Amino acid sequence: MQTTVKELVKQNNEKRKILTSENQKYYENMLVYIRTNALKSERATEEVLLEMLDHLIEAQKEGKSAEDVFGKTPKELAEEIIETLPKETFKDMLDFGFEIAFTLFGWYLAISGLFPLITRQDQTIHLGSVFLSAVCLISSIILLIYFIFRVIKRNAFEDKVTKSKVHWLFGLLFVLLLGIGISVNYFFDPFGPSLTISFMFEFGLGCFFLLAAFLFKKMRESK
Amino acid sequence: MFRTKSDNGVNNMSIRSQLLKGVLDGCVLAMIEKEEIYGYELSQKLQAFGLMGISEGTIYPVLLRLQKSNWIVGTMRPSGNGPNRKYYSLTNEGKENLKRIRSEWNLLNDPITKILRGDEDANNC
Repeated sequence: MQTTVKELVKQNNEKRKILTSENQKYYENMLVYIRTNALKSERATEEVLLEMLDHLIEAQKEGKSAEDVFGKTPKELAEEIIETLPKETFKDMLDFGFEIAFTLFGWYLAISGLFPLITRQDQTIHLGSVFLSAVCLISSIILLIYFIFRVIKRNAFEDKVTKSKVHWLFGLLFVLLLGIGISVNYFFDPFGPSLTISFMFEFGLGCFFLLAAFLFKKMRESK
Repeated sequence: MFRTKSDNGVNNMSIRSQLLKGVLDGCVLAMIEKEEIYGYELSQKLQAFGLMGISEGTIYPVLLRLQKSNWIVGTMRPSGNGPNRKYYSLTNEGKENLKRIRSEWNLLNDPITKILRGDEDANNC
C-alpha cells in the first residue's frame, strides 16, 4: 500500500532529529518555505522534502554540510522546486476547503448553539444577517490564512528575532478579524426574511458540520 | 570544486550552471537510462563523471520537471538496509526524448566546439 501523506510527514519529523543543528536549521527553513505553498500537491511536496532529507542525511555521514549539498542560495532552490511541483487537483483543494469551512462553522455553531440548548428557547433568525455574518467570517478566515502563509514564507530564511515579533502580529490580527466576524450581527439591525428555528437546531447543525469535517479529514489522511 | 586563479569561483559557477541548464535534463535522463537510481546516488554519479560545481540539490527540480512531463517515474522501494527510497526509471516517452536530445546534442556539439575554439572558417577542421 502507498504511504499516506500523514505518514510521510511523520517520517520527516523523525528523520530530522538525525541532522546536526546547523544542517537542521538550514533544512527546516527550506521545508517551511516549500510547504507554505497551498496550491501544490501535498503528496508531491512531502515526497520531495523527504527525498531531500534522505539525501542530506547521507551527505552528512560523509561530512558534508547542507550548504555543500543545496548551495548558498536555498531560497532560489526552494523557489525552483515550488515552481516545478505539480498542482494540487481541484477536487482535493475543494475537499480541503470544505474541511476547513466545516470545522470552523461546526465549532462556531456548536458553541453558540449551547445557549439556546440550555435555555430551551426557540430562536428567531434573520436570513440577511446570518448571510452577512457568514460572509464576514469566511473572508476573515481566508484573509488570515493568506496572511499567515505570506508571513511564514517571508520569514523562512530570516533570523529568530523577527519571527517572534511576527507571531505577536498574528495573534493580534486573528483576534481582531474573528471579533469582527462574530460581532457583525450586533453592528447592524437584523434584516432579511425571518424564521423561527428549534432550540436544538443550531447545536445540531454544528455537530453535523463537525462530523462532516471529521470525515473529510479522515478521507484526506487516508490518501 | 575547481577555481581558476584569475576569476572568482562564484562567477565560474554561475556561468557553468547557465551553460548546463539546457543539457542537465539530458544528463539526468542518460544516467537513469543505465539503471534505476535514487536521488543521492544520481548526484554522486554525475559528480563522478566530473560534473562539479553545481550543487547536488539542483537535481531535484530537474527530477520533478521530468516526472511532470512523464519522461521518468519514481517508485518507492525499500533499499537493502537503508530507508525506503524513490527509484527513478525512464518511461517510453522519456526514452524517445533522450534519443532526440542525444541527436540534437550531436548536431550542436561539433559546431559549438569549433566556434568557441575560434576556428577561422567552417572548413577548417
